[in-house]
Amino acid sequence: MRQAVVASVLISILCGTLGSYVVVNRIAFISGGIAHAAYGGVGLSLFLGIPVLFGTSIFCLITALIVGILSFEERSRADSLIGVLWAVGMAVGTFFLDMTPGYKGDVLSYLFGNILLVSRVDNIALLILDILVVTLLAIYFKEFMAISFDRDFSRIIGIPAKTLYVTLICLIAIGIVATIKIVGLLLVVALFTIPPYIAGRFVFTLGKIMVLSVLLTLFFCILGLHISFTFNLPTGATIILVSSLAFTVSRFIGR
Amino acid sequence: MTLPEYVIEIEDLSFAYGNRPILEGINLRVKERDFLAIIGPNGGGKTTLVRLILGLLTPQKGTIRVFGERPCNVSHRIGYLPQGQDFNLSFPITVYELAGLGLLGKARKNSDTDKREAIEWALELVGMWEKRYEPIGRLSGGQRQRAFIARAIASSPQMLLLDEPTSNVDPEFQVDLYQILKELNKKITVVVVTHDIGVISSYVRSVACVNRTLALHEEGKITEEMLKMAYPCPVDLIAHGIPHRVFHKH
Repeated sequence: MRQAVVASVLISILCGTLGSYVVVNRIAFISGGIAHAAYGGVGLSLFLGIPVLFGTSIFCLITALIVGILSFEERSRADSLIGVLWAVGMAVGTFFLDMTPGYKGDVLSYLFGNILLVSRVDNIALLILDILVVTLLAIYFKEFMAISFDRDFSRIIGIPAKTLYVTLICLIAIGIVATIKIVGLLLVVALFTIPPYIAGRFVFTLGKIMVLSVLLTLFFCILGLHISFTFNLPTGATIILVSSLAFTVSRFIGR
Repeated sequence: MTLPEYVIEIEDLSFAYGNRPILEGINLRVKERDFLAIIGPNGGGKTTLVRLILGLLTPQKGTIRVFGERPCNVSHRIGYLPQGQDFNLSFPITVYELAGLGLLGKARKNSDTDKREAIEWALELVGMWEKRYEPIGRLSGGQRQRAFIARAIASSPQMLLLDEPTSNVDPEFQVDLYQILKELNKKITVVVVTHDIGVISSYVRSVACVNRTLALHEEGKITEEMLKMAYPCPVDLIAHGIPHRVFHKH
């Protein structure tokens, strides 16, 4: 339980900061595509007998590079491509899982998450990732904001817009992989989008939205954990349902 | 040899999207501290020309030099105001932060004091300092344009390039805008893409009319010929400020 609470804090930082960029860039679909494509990484890792988080990270990074570069070049046509990668990833996963002999681990926990499986080692990896993301975002906060708001203008004044954009998509991909263990790859998009969306109704600068999103994510995770423990419910789904309820309520208050 | 006295030099430039020619045989020279208006019908290639000057597009034929160099190397020295309708107005950003975006990349300022002073100067000039903590989504169209102009001028560019600054904006803003531009034009070159034919004639020094080809008039007068080229259908034209004239049938 203690590891679960620590994990909640660590993923809140990831989801709140990266999720804010997902919402302001309107790339929830890209994030969803990467999250589902991650299933291909899970299947391949189990088939090859390599550590799942490692294998899935590599798989998702490659997906993120493809999606990042193509969606930067052709924003309008990226939509279908993401849809394709989404389905291909799931198909690759299903295919290789079927080819893998013997015990396949708890496949359902990759789909829907299981925060109780989070180990101390996982949390250390998460902590390192948090430090990396927070440092990068602190240094390039304004540049990331500039490319999210107005790409052409950023290019004109000499910001390496493409590099930063692809970096951002890669960070989001790694963030998604890190969160899979907690809420599962089918549900992860909700944690990246619901808190920043709610925050955006109450505060009006990107920095404040990030801070509020981190706090909201933490609140949803802890509340979801508590409810799922008390009533013996699946944690990932409970966290998402708690968030969705807050999302619905927020539609009626705020701006 | 003297230093290039032209801030923009375009020679025999052509540009096409696929097989569709947008600009053909364009020649244009803009002198330092000129005030140039680019007029022409929608779809005539005005914005394409702007994007070529900014180095966002490369011509298939001909050359384009800005400050004597390739556009992509010097575009950070141009203050650019894009067309207004392209923005995500729900983006969480304040007026102050928006103006600050002009000071990134190659236009980056090293000290925080310089940064603050540049932003304050720009926002004061456009009359938006009082509103600096407002998110852009809560501004009127005119206020928003002012904030975007502040972003364009914060880095003290050597040329200002504005793409339809007054479209969809309250009419009072139009007068204020040209006053601001006149002030800036004392020091820097101003290029404005516009439909405000009535207003520009009292401010600009030269007029270029773009409709696949380009016709330049260096005394800032708008001739009937240019209007015909620019606006094949005179009904589009609200001709206040210029001598009224009955157009021929076409």
